[in-house]
Amino acid sequence: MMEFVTSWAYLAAIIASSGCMLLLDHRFRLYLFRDRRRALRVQAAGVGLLLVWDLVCIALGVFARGEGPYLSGYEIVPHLTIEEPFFLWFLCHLTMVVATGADRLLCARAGGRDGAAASGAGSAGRTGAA
Amino acid sequence: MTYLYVNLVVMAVAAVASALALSHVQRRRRRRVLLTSLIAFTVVAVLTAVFDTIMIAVGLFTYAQEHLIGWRIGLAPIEDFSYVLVVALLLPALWAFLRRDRDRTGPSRAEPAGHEREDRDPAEGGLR
Repeated sequence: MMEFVTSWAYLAAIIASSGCMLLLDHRFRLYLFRDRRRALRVQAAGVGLLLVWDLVCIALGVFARGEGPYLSGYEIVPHLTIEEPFFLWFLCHLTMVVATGADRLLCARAGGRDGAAASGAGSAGRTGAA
Repeated sequence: MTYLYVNLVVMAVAAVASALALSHVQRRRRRRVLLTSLIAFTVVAVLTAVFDTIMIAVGLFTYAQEHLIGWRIGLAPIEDFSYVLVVALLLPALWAFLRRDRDRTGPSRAEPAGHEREDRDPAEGGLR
């Protein structure tokens, strides 16, 4: 029983982290919650490219599935674990939350400097949610 | 060295794709996209150094030593950071490109005030 729980720990950690990313994204309306269609296209491009990259590396024998206890053991193709697409999704989402968040902060600063309607990151998130 | 060679090819493809995407983006905006890419790379690279090390330590994946150049940050092979570089460069460029794509069909708006409002999808009740 304990082994079963442990073997899903990695996937659970990725899903929990992705959930936190979604909360941040939602709170500040950064990416998926700002323009879902555009964000999903970017996510698809990112995850797609990284999956192909992974497959090439696996085919060339660069990396292989580990033997650790935290993997479910299911694979999409040999050595490409079912956890991997979730991880790649998370990596792309994390990167874009940081990038769009940074853009928001730069935006607020530039807005203040140009004398345009300056909107702080926090208040912008709240207005966006209305 | 195999891993490095594969990554150089992918990085070259990503660089060309990003340049193409950014060539269609307003010049002023392009500079900021590159700046956000740089920030994203820095933040995610630090996280990668930490979490890749943990992930390798607990045995989620292994590398064939003969295909690595052997430099590591923590336990993370230096080559792994190409993933971060590609994602941090390509995705913000694509995000900016797709926005410009849609802006053609709407009124052109100056940067940067009212950023998230002008960005809202009309289907979500935006102000366009």
